[in-house]
Amino acid sequence: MRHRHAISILAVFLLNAGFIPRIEAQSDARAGFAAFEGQKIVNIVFDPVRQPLEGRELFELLTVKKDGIYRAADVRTSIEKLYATGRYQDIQVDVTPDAGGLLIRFQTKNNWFIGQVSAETDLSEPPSPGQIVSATRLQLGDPFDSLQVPAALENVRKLLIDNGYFEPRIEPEFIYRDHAEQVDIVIGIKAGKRGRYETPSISGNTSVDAGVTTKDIIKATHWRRFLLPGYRGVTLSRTRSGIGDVRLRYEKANRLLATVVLASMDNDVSRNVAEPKISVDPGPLVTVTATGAKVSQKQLRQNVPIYEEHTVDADLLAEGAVNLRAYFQAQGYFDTEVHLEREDVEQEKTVITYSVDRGVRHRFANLEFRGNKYFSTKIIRERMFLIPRTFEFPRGRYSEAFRRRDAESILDLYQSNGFRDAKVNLRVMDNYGNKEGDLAVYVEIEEGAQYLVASLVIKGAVKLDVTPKIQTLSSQTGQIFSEFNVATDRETIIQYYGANGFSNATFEWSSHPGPRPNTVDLQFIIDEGGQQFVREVVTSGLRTTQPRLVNRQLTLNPNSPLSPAAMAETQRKLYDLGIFAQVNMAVQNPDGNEDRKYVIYDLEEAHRYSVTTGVGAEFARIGGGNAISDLSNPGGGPGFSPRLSVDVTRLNFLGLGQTLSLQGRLSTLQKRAVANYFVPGIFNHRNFDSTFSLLYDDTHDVRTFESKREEGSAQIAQHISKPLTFFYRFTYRRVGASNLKIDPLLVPLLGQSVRVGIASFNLVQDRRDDPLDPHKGIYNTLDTALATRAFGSQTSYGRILARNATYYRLGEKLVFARETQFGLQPAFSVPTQSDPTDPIPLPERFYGGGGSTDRAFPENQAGPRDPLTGFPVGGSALFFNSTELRFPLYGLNVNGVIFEDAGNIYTSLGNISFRTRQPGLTDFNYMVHAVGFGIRYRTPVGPIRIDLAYSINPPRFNGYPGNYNQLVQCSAAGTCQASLQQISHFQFFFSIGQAF
Amino acid sequence: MRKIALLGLTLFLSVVSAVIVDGVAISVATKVIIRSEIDQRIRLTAFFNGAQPDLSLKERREASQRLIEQKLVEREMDLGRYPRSGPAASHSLLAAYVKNNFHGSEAALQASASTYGLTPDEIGADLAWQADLLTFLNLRFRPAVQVTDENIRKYFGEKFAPGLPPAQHEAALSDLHSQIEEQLTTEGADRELDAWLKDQRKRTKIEYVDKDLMEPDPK
Repeated sequence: MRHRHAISILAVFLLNAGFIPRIEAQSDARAGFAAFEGQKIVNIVFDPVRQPLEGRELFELLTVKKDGIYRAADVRTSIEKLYATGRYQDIQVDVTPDAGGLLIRFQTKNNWFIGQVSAETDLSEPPSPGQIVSATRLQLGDPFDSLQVPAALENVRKLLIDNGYFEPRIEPEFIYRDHAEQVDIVIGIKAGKRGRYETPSISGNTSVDAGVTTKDIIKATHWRRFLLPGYRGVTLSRTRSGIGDVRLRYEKANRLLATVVLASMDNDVSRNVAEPKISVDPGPLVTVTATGAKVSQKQLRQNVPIYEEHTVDADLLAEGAVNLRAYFQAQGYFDTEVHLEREDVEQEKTVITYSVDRGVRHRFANLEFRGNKYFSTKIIRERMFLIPRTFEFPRGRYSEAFRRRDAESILDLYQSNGFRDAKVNLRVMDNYGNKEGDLAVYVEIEEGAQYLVASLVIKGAVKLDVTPKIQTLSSQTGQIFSEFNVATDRETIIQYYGANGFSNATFEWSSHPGPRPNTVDLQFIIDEGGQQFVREVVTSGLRTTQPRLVNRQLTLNPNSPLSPAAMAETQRKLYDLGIFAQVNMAVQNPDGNEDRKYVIYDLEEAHRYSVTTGVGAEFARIGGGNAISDLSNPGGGPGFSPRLSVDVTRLNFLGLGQTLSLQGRLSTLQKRAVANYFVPGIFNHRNFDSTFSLLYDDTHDVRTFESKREEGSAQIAQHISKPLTFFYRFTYRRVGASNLKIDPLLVPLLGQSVRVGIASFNLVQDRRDDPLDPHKGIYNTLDTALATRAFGSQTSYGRILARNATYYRLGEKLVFARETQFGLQPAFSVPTQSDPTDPIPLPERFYGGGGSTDRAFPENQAGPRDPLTGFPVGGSALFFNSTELRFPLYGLNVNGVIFEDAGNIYTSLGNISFRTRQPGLTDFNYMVHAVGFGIRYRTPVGPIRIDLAYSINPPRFNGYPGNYNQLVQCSAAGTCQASLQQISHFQFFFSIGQAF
Repeated sequence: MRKIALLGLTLFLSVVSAVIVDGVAISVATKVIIRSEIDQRIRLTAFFNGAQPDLSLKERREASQRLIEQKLVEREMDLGRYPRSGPAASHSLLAAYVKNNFHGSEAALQASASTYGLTPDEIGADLAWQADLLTFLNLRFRPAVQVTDENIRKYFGEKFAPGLPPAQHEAALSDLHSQIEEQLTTEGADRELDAWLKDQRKRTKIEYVDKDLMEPDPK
């Protein structure tokens, strides 16, 4: 009994341990296995049972079938097919004779694929983790081969040494994940402290005669610390730029052929320093001159590319001659000849001379078109470089190169529109109109016949229905036939196939003369190739982000066609969440011949916290009457307001892609704290976002009062389309005004805090080409709101504020922009303890004037004013209209603007008036105009704006020359003496961004 | 307990009696060489040469190297979408072979093939592969071979001129010009193919699952 038990244990042990005694196929195997041929296969099994391919797919691949007949050729084909999937490293097949036939077993060893590659380091950047991962050259989704690892680690080591970490400890960790057969690779690095440069050792000619001494070279590297003793830390980019800067130093000394090489970096690990060894050869002194015409050194540097390429060779010098010729031709010397001479004066000196013969100065006076019927002259001219004389080009723009290029582009235009026999000739005539030097160009066009498609046959579209795409093709029956259109159709069809998983689809075409003259019978031949599908989408790299957030962004699902476009769309959506620093995507096992593929997204989460601090200042007409008790100068005077801001943002709050941010502003004009909680994609719909905010604001931007606001709001944004967004908002706030500079009798009414509950709907439609600096398009906003008791409001009013701006291109360089704003804020009831003439609390009223509304006023100085103090008190209606003409002023980055602004803040809708004269010192219901000039300097964050405005009819008003205490006293006594004041005619504004 | 012991014994015996019939021998990038393919290669070569198949390890190694080259060419033909012979071409090539070598008797072919352990289909497939290789050679390498008049004169001078009187040299050269040009082009294409294969071997991951097939280290 004991003995039998031992035998069974031995059998099981041998199986589990993978020790499988076999009769190996020997050299003359075929003869030995011939006995199996033709026998019935009773079963087919796989070892291990868990296979990288799913059951049905696996057995469909096999040529041997259960209950079929055994054939050795089928076994071989089955192995080939399984291997071709790319999912196996090894496949062996054994056969066991059984009572009813043969049992076939496939013993497999699966492949592994590269998953997430990440770096865990203790070093300070550079190199960044991304650079380290990139240095491994291990590509996401590729088959993993352990033989790649040593080379990958060596690359990382080299990168670290190049960046000053001379003795890094690199320990890779491989995490094998059965799911999708992925191997995640974590590269652990203990790098220690970054080493520093030592004084470089220079070899080569560094004598004074060479123009650059050892001292100059060391200085040029910028490796020495600024104002501090010693050298900076070693980084790869610093080393490269140092060597580059030495090369530039030689170039400055006219040693254009100098060679500067970093021969080696001798790292002293014990001292943690690196001694760069630089080898220099100054080469000859290269002098470039031009004779026969005046060419400045600056022009030579711009036109002769040896300076840019840092080398002197025949091709670059010849290119310099061509460029100089074009330079003179652009100035009207159309016959310019430039000859190049290179002379090695002595061993150490090379002189390059461009001999320029400009010839007679011409003027490109006339450009005429002949023979063009199908295309208008305007359409053709849009494609041409040649320009006859204009204000911008007084001598026209002409060169032989331009002439040839224009002839080719006109011919292309015709040929791509079916005029296959078109001929284009640009004939030049000198002394046009009997004026010496005047040039005319005649564009002579022979259009010939336009070829049409007589019939279109599409062959090979079997697996995919291309009918929906046929209607979008350019080469349909009756349409124009051109190779350009066929190329477009090819793109359309290949993209369509690609989007449906046919990544190997090919397209060929042929044409034959059609039944009628100038027609063709067209044939598109498609080779569809195999269709591939998504097996599964696998994501990696999520540490704090909830997988469901990522899953919601996936546009690919299992069994959907493997579409590169859909993959890229998912990648874009993941980036749009704003919580990932990097989204890598790949198709796993790219070369494997399997129908269903894993799509991999490897995500790198961005830093969750970001802190932004800012220090700034405002300099404008904000001062003057700022002191609490000072009532002088209600129109404002130049003032300075320093500003400090701190923003703390927590991205990906709760791992759901939500953002929590705290913003603080502190200046002499404003104290503000805001907490925002942003939830993207509510209602499971990515078009809806919501924001919850808490605000505390203590502002003095309207200088009449200091407004204090405590506010909570909830907002839902609905993105209807790319340009159109709706906002639904409810706000509850408490507003109060203090330090009022108005008639003391009104202070008890207007100085009270009021609770406002207000529901609003906003619409923003933005079709501008560039929101920072628009050239064409339209921008509309509509803000409607209602504050009523039903919302817990102590005051009841409505608000409509509409804005419409349009932008037009005038010619190529001018932009005409206009904007109109209209606002209305009617009160529905007059609560007790409020100003009966305008019951809306002071801080809730409309204020305007300034850089973005009407430049006739300083900021917020438009509209009604307190009759006693002259400070603005806001209104219930507004109308502003601005027009601008924007034009290039100097170079590409400096533009000019002339503008006209008109409008005002009005007491009420009924008081809106277009009259230009102020009716009286206490009546401000008229339209104030300003004209002016501005300069815009283009920067990546928008144009820097300086505007100087002249107000044509600024308001005059009564002010009080004393302080507030004096006003209270004289007001009680009825002895106040008003002083006549006026808003200045001249206003200036400085900010970033266009006015509108 | 007796049942368990019996089951264990059955399992053990079934495993012992399993015979490995085939498997991966060498992988060439995404292509694979199967063990039986190596034997088949030897048999096919022997069949076409009319020799006895030698299935020794040395011959199997040699056949493996030829198959590696075949896989490299097949891979390149797949990637470059070169035209391949289909089943119809295979049949017509086989028919021509039977006509030329077996007086059109398929039975004779069958009998001869079976002595080598081959089937007519396998012979037809190999003929098709040879045709594919020729296509690849012609499309990929022949156009790149430049044969100048100087090359032709030199070849003529080395191979033909010594046997001819000098007076006949020009006339003979004229007659043989195209023949020599063809010869030199073929040789040039072969050289290009060899160089390409050498380069591909360096670039391609070739893994010997069956380590016995690895070429012994020269040292």
